[in-house]
Amino acid sequence: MTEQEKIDRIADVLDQDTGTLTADMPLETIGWDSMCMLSVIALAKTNGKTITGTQIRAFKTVGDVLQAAF
Amino acid sequence: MKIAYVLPRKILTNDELAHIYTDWTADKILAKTGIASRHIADDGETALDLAERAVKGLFDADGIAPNAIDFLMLCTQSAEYRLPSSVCLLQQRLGVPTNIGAVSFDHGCSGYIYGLSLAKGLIAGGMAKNILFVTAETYTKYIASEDKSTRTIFGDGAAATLINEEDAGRIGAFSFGTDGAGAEKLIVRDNKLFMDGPEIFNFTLDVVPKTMEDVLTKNGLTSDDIDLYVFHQANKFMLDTIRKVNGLPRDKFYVNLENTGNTVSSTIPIALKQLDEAGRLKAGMKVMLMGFGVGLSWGATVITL
Repeated sequence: MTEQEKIDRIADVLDQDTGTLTADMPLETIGWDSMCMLSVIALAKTNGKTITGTQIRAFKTVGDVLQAAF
Repeated sequence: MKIAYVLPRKILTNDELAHIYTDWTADKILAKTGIASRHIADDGETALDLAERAVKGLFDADGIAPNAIDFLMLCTQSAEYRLPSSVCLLQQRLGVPTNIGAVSFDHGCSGYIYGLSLAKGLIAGGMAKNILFVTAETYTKYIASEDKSTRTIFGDGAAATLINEEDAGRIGAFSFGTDGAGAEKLIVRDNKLFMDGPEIFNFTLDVVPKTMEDVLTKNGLTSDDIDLYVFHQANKFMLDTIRKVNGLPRDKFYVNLENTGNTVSSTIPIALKQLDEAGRLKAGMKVMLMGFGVGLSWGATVITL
């Protein structure tokens, strides 16, 4: 999976339009909230990864999600 | 098992919540949580009041006389007083005999499973024949108005289950788990509820597959033998993820909390009653029940209908 495909997958689980996210985009600009956190944890789980509550609350950008969830 | 449940009359809808939390829409709340509305106890309405109404509903619906009850159990974390135990007050309100055993215990999301295990043990030990097991919670009284992530999820409610000797024989072996190291992940301190949603989610995703495997082994079953999975109705997103991660078929995995919300220890009996009313429960079916959450505490069993 290419980085863009991964970002598109993140966009999908965060209910964002495909192609609208970039790695350096601050999460606060895309409505990052508790529901988004659960969506990302679920995405990571399907990829065999676990993101702790402490880790996910420290995420600042889409790139942080990208690194942890895949 | 005969089951009845009640919900408070007051309803909090997603439209009302979306009006308060303007960055969320009613549709978004429904899509993520699976909840359109939840029932909220009024200021003067307590878990004990709901428990009483649930039992009286059960008595009326099934023609059960109070003096048929020979043991009373109440699972609640919304006790009327620090002391005495709420179950003693419930005995008096229900008019069930005074020469019976009565016990409260304060489990949350796993409480229904633990209650079934205690009931089975009491009956197997010859200490009771007709156990009235009540679950009742008013978590919403602990939720701060600004806490949108928990306010959208939790609702209040109570359920009453009558377990007799025949029912107890249909309750299978249990799998239990406890991890107090996770106590801080869902806690009421200074009368205010705090939930670390991501950590509770991780805990659930870790513990459910192991518990499924353990309870199947203890009952000498495989997943093919299970006709229906009725798990604690925490929220739709969590349940959907559990189902996908564990490869469970959608038609065997019950999800319905649209008009109740997460009623903690009452979600499983409410689900069983809803399934019964929908005609989805058939004699001989094997149903896996599982509860998980605050404690951290979890448990599962398989019942044969």
